[in-house]
Amino acid sequence: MTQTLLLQASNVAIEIDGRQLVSSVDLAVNKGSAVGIVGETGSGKSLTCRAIAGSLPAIGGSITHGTLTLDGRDLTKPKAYADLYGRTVSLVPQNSLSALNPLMRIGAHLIETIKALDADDGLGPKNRAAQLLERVGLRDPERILRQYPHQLSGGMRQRVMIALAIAGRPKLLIADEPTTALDVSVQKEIVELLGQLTREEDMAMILVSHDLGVVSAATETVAVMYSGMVVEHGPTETILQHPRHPYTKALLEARPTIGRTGRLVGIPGAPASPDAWPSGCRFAPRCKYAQPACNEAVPTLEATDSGQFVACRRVHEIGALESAGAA
Amino acid sequence: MKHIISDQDLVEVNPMEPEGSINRTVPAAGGVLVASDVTFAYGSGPAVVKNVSLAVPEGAAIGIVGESGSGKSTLASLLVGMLTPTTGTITVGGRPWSSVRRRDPLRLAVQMVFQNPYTALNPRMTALRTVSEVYEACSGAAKAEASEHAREMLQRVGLTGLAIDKRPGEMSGGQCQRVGIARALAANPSVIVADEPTSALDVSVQAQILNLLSDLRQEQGIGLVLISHDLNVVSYLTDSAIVMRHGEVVEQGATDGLLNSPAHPYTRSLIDSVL
Repeated sequence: MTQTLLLQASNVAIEIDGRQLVSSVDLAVNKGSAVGIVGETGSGKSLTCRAIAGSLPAIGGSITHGTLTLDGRDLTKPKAYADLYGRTVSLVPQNSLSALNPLMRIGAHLIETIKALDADDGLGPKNRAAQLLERVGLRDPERILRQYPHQLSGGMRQRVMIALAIAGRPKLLIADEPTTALDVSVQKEIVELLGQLTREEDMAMILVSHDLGVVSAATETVAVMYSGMVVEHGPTETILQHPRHPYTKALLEARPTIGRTGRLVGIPGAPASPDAWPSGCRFAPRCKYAQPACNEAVPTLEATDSGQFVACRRVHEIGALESAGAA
Repeated sequence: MKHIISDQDLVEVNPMEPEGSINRTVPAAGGVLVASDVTFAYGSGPAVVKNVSLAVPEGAAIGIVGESGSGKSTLASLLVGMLTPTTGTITVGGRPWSSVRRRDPLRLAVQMVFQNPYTALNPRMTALRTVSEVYEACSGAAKAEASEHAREMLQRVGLTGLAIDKRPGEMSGGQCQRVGIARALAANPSVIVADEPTSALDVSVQAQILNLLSDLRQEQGIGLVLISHDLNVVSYLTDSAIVMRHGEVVEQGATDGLLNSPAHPYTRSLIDSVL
């Protein structure tokens, strides 16, 4: 099957108030596909999402380097986002409680969005709002339309946020940590709903999470970010089964799972602040494989024989070292 | 439904008055911390913890698992003596919390580590001052001695050098949580009740904190009550666990058995939901 590219980011750098917080993001999203972005606090994953969704100016940010195209539109150009949000791209934020206006009923939120996007599908705004609530698995939509955000559970509010995001039938849905504040059973329901919607609505999705489990359940490819850079990307299953970048390896070793025995291996130290990024590989100060040469230049993503792209100058040596160790 | 905490629900905790040097005050035998048929309701509202019984022997680690609203955080507040059971009793060192006077050193035997490391610390205090103040108040030690002891506690949790003079706003989440644990250790507790201690932390930092709690238990024999919605974390850190739903214990037993062969459908559904 021929895959059509919907979003392409190449070497994207982002600044907020003159301070570079993302320095190199490479990402490709095909139409109808699901891509994960994994990274810890401060890695730049949410800023990358904001750049794609066009909300950087609202926080004083801008793309200062690289290329970013979405559905054929160059997002680095001024006013590129006009008429884009809601119809081409939309965002499901992390905290549904703070994202909804506490003084507005759920129906008012949805009707306002449907009118703004002229997306009532000939049903009228109210009927379309009820249809959207049913679409995201909420029973008794007529009652929910009359309720306020605080009257709904966290999972129900997150479903409302998803309904708002898909109201304009976007081609790309960005879900930024959509399950972080939710209970495990609700987490699974939301991830399954997002997967179902992307399949049935022919919509692509970028799923951002610090949780490798969430990403593995819902995406086909994944990009791992560290200190403002994508350090590894490729097929999700390959990366989770055979990680090649030392940071990805360390993340997996640090994760407790049911039935796992032996001591967890934490990553020593903490990520450097953007003002003090190392001159070479940013993970080098915490990397057990680092050599002095790793501090000389920032590594770029290179293809590996296992199918993923990895930004580590020692990636091939590490593979050989581990094979020798295993033997 | 909105729950209102009445004055009767609240008791003073850890009044921090000088009592001489701190000694571990709880005997090892019979369960350091024991909850017997505990029920609790906020004010005149419905019971949010119903007929819960558990015992924490010295050095044991018990997980309390459940979803939002299951009553696990209320149970944590009951275990540390911040709330008084409506019916049933909680004993520490064999004595009910209600009989442990505010100046009694036994008050210090159960300490708490909170979920959000930033809001749990005084934003104006350095890590060193946060910990030394607790030791000073608990032991009556002079400032210099308390400060020296606090350095040892902070070193024990992996904070040394410049980090100990930082305030919460200048520290990472992991560092703040280490300060929270050091503060609990400063009272030389027999049991630490940790309410979702890693849910606000990144994966790599979470591993450091989980290992630290595991080490404290093994090296110092400190019991642990770990409250978490994350079954992976409970699996890693605890020997036994209870599963709560709507305030009731629906299943309890050895953690391995409970997670590998759950008997209750709710436990099974929780395990099936782990991504």
